[in-house]
Amino acid sequence: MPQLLGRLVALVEWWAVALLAAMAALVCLGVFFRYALDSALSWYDEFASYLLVWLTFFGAVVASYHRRHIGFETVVERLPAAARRATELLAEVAVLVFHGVVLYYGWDLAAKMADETAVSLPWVRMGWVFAAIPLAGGLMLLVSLARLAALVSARREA
Amino acid sequence: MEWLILALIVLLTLINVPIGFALSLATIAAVLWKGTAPLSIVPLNLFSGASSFPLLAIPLFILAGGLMETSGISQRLVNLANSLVGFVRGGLAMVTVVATMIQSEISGSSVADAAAIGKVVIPAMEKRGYPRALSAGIVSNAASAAILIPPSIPMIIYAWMAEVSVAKLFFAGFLPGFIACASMMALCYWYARRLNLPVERRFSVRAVGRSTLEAFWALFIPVVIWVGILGGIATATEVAGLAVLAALVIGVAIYRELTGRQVLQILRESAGQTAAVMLIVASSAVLGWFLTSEQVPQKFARLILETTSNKYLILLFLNLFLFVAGMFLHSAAAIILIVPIVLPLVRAIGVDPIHFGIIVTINLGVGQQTPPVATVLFTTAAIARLPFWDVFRVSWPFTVVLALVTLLVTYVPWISLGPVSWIHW
Repeated sequence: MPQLLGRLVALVEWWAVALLAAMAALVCLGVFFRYALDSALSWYDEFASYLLVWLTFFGAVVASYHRRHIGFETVVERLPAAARRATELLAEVAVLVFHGVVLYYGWDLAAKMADETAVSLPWVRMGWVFAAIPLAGGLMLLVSLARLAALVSARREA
Repeated sequence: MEWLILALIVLLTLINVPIGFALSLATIAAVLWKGTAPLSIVPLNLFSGASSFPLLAIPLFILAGGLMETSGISQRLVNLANSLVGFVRGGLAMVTVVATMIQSEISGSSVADAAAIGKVVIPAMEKRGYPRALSAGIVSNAASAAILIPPSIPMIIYAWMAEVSVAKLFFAGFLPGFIACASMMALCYWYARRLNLPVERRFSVRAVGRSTLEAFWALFIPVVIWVGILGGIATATEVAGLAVLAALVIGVAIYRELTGRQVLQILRESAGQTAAVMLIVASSAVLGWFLTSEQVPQKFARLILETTSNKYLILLFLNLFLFVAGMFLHSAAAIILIVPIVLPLVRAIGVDPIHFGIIVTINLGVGQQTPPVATVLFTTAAIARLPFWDVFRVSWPFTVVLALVTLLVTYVPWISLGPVSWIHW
């Protein structure tokens, strides 16, 4: 099960890399059309900012898995082992609540947006764009659950 | 109510809940408590916080910086700085400040800047007899001084929040950035005399010419950025895109130090760094929505103006407020949370938002050098393989200088606004 999650996250990471590369390419293309061809692409800034939303949330899944989100470890690191495990458990439960809210209400929101379309691109449905949020919430929920399980089982052994 | 939210954020941060989650969690608690809005405002504001074309400049500048770092640019910049200022006593310390300054014209973040230059100069300084803690302190503080020199991620975020022109803000940052770096160099010189640090090499025009030639392509990128943004030709995001393209072409085709495998690795790292910063940005937007709907900015302005209407006193207070916030918050979060709250007050006392943007940028730079959350100093201490406190014990005089420059920039608006008035577009 943990290996499966690892593979899933690796997949998400390649997806985030593809999004970043696409974003850089799209901005250069936009510049080329605006200055070299003198006919600005009307859709590119809106589309690019949606790519940023996707990169933010799918990238956040990867950062969650590798513990690369920006946090403040100094206090927890100095606690005695037992207190440290307790705070880790508490922090993980708090994070779990956030992911739950993002998954549940994000899904709700994406469903409501299903019929809306992007301003400049009629074939882009806003439901897809918003879907990144509950999807990432769900994946981070899995990461969080796995970590919680590891914390609890470590405590039993100790 | 506002204080309860603040206490909750501090508590969550202390138990090591990532800041990007803590800000939203505090808002979730507040929304549930008030019961006046549905929780769907959380994903909605996460979305609107991240969906912004100006903010695209952040991942693109991170990516351009990563590409430049791996393609041997930093070493060439250090060589150039060495030929320029290596003849002074304590030359390598000066070289560090100058190289950090030039590097910051490529990368948009102090952490990236400090990491790129620190990896090159800290080992070199150790060989030449510099105390390692001093080297780490100099690189770190120089990186915070140099963040005023464009491009700069904090300025991009500020401009987006305050709805001012990024180009004007970038222009306003030049002079304060140079003053901050010059003050750093002056302090380096004082240390050099006291510790009798070595001179690197004699000054020669030929050496300057040669190292400039070697660094030509590295210097080409800041030129693209300057001409593009400061000439008012392209937006910061577009220029960032071009910088990525230029870095890729220079790294792969001209310096030939960049391989496909490395490019993929840089893309992975940049995607991770982007997500870490952008999650904080998005989450700050959630809390920002709540604070605005509670009319906190208006309450804040009224509260202060009832106490005093003295512009200089209020500026001092705002500086102290920013400094304390910067000690605890990541600078992206600090800007998104604080700027909307204090901007009505700033406008009411007649301070130009561009000028205030420069104050915010340098002030939060000071906060990056002071514990408990000193992101840049943590980075260089790690490179120097020293405990954080060993470095801080040596580096604090540089941070004091940075704080003095902050006050200078605060009370002499011309330093920021003078150059802006020269441009007409």
